[in-house]
Amino acid sequence: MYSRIATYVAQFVPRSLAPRIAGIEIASTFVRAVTIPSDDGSCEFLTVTLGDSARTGGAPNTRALTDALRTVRLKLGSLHAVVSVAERKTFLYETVARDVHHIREAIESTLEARVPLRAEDVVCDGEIVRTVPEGVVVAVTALPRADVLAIHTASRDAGLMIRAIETESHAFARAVLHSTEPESVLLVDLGAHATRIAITDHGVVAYAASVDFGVKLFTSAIMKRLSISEGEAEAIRMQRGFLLGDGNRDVVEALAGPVSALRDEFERHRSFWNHAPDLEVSRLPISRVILGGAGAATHGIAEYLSDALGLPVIQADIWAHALRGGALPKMTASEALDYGTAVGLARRYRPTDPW
Amino acid sequence: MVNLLTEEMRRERTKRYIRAVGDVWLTVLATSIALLGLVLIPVYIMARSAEEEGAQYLAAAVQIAERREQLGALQEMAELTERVRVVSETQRSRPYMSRIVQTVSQSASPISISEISLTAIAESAAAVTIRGTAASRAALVSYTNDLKDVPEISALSLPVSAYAGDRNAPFTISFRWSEPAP
Repeated sequence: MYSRIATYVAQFVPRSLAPRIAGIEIASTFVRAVTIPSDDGSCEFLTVTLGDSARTGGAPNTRALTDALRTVRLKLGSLHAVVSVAERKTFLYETVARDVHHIREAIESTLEARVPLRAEDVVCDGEIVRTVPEGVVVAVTALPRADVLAIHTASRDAGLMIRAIETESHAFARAVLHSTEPESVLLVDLGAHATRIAITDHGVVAYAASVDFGVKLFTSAIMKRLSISEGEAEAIRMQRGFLLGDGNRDVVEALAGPVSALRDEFERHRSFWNHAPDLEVSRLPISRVILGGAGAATHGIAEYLSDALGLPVIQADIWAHALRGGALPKMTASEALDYGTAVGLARRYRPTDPW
Repeated sequence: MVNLLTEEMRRERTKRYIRAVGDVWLTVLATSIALLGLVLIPVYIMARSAEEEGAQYLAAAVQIAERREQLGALQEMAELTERVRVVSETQRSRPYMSRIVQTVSQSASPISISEISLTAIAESAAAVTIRGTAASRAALVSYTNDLKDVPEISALSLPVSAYAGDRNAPFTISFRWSEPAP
């Protein structure tokens, strides 16, 4: 009922007074936020580092999170937010419902088997992936209720109104994938300390995983091999990267180990997806890979992975749909790749949507 | 799209939104009223000033009217005084006037006199005209005869038309009053 009232009330709110919506990615060590005020305007972005107390890996430190969210609100002037939670805390699986009217029933009947938590301790939601002869394939996402409450409390204390909570993969997919074609796409967010792997089916995230393997390993390997500082190693990774050639032999040899490990990880998840051990319907094979995150800017890595996996591997274009004709933000391409999740969150609602 | 907010959180979010919109509109309304009030203050001051000016003008007009009235009354009083003085003077210098009035009024006939006027007033004589109404023709005849019997009255004249009416006939009698020589 309240939702209908809100929708009615929203008609009387001038579009110019619509609150700014911030897309806020909450990671264990930082909070990254983006606002896209209008379709043709430039966006604003901000990264706030969480204190050491936040580096627990478990439940978020509410006070540190509140402070970070308050900073986002004050600096970006946003009152509404769409927030993402870390992938490692969520449970994502696919199930088949008899029809659209039995989705809730299908989720409830499978939740206990797929999520190692009591049903009352979990918040879950489903999204229709596709229709098959057996019924409707639904991607179910579940998150511990305690985590949802912690984020909600921190946001409320920071003066932010949360309009939605979703996983990082859902947001990242919205930022980099611009079609709902009948295909499966492997999305990779190669972050500094961890890599998120998600597979979309008909444009919907149907599988997600997170591995403790980040681009910092590339930098460390170059530092060790060439005995140089971290800054120099970062510059070499970006400029020379994994380009094969006589002049770059040292760097390629240094990166061979981590890049091979990354390739193996992709192969493992592709194999898991293709064999569908947990679903009674067949899946479409992965047709392409989209590479995002800071590591995607490593020179030559997309070409190498494309050869190794036998699939087209392309670098994510974060701004392609986020800014329709607007000026590009003042950040490097590598930094932009880091903001993929936050941009996806900010794009969940249209800028002119008051509600 | 997936949304991991609980039902309670979504309800709370919606309520907060409605409340926020309501607050904004109320603030806009209150600000508008306050601004309108501010704009009306000069208007009120101007209206008040105009009202005071009107009242002052009215008071001045009343004062002037009262003054004029006062002056008018004084003038009238002066005129009356002048008339009284003239009458008194006349009575003093012409003592026969009261005898004329007494003579023409002391008739037993049923007539009523409405006017006695004296013209060509001299020291011991005057032309007198009497106007009035006679109850009947007989009364008029009787009254005329009574006047003719008075020795000071001469040249009495009564138009014949006065006898035309039988009842309540208006009449005008003219005669000359002469004081006997001392």
